[in-house]
Amino acid sequence: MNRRHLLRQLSGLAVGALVTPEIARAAGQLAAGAALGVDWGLGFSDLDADLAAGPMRLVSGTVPAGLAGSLYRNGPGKFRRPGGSAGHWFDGDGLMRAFRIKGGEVTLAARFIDTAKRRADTRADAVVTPGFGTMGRPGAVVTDNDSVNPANISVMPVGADLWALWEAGSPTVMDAGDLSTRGVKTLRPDLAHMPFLAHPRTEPNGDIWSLGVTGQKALIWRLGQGGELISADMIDLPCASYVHDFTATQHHLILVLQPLIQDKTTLPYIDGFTWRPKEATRILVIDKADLESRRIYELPALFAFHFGAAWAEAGGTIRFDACVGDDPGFAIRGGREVLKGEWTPSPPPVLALITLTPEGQARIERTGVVAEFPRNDPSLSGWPRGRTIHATGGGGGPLFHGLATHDWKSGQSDAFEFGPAHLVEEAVFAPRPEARGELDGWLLAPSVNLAAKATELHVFDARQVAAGPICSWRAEVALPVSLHGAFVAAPG
Amino acid sequence: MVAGPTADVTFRDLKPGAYAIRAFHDVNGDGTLNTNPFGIPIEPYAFSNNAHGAMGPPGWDAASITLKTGDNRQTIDID
Repeated sequence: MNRRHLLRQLSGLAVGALVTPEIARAAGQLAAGAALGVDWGLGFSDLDADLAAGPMRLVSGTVPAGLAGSLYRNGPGKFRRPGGSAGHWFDGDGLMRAFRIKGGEVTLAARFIDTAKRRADTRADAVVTPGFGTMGRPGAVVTDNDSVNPANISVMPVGADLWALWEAGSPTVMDAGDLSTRGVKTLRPDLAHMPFLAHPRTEPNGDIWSLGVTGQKALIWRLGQGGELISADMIDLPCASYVHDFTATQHHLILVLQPLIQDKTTLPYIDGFTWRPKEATRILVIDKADLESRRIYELPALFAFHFGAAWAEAGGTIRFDACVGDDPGFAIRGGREVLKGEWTPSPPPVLALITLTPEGQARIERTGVVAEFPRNDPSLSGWPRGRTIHATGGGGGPLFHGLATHDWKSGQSDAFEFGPAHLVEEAVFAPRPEARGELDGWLLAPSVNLAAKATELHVFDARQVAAGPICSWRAEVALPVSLHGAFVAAPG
Repeated sequence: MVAGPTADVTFRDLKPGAYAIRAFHDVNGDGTLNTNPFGIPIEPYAFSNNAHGAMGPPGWDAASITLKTGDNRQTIDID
């Protein structure tokens, strides 16, 4: 169903008992978007060439003193080629963006990550390389996972480098200065081409944990803050779940094994998985100090791409947040539709708190607040914390129109919505120099302004989101929506 | 052991018919095609016809060659 079709359907509905709040909200947002003459398809358009660093224009507010550093963001940036195109948003070529904030001014640069996949597809003038939701075409040369690695999901600063991360292949090392690509990172020769998730967990002391998952096997990576390998251990999993993210406390790794189960190896990759809504979500809790020491909890079926950093309370209760949906509709269907300008309305993910008790009980409390891309103050990752940062305000079309922080103690949401003219990307926390306490600093949230047809960068006070942006900058161009980012503060 | 950019191997006394060749560059000289813990090769490998697979080796149809009576020559690129 395309958007116009949906609008026609919705406009034929009488306002009454048959209109659920979700449908009403979707209709309202679609109508508002249509009235503004905006098209969310701009967020999924192609960037044809690298963008040299250029200034962004301050369009509102005053730049806060003390905010300086680089926001790096990764996400797919090219999907379409004359001989055939990607079939899924997650299969576009990785595009690294750098927003550099200095002396109250901002520049924006973007450079494609020079992967084997991008080179092969460029040579063929077609997306021949298979992927998450793309079948691939004759001419693809696939010798190992890194042949198909678009390095397009997230970015992790490591020392003076950037690692562009996918989830089923090696990290790709880039120069943080000019965003040039050095090549895939082999952490140990016998571990070449092993998967490395896009969502490593970095402890406040700098140690980095990640996973590589295939079927019912997982490799647990532990790296030092310079990216050196500390250990790599294989473990068995109770089921062959799709794993995009995991979480961790100070002492435990927590793998949420959802009933999206791989029962065959095929192309595209996601088509090898079956959603089994009657089966449990199994939560595996592993002792970091003894990977053989494990507990398994169970919850009813849920689907989440992303989790917040977990924490343990005195007494051993573990809590973590998740952005949960009822099914993996976006992974299977939505991510394909958006490249075609189509969207099937579906309930957006909501923020939830998952609690694991020492007695072996698991429970989930859904807040009802629309939420994706959960983040937190990284100085507290793995330790008790009170707030979650997330995108919000979705439902009418793909992605989100606002951002919020959620206070788990009070249950209050501190939110700001730009409305349907903005596709708001994941917000990243930037601490104030000499920060004191949780979220003492700013949120950096880009958006694609669909009306102005331009990428913007917005700065919020992390403790006063509802007050709106402190300042906003606008670029000359609209880059496609990015997925995940990281902030590196300028040296004090 | 072969050093240099090319290597020649001769198989003698093969009967005419359909064959396929799998070759790998034994970088560490241990006599086997080394793999990572998930079974993915970590040494360069290739097949007759320079056939490529996707998620696994290429199929027989892509990699098979037909040997006729007399000398047959097959060139495989490994990189």
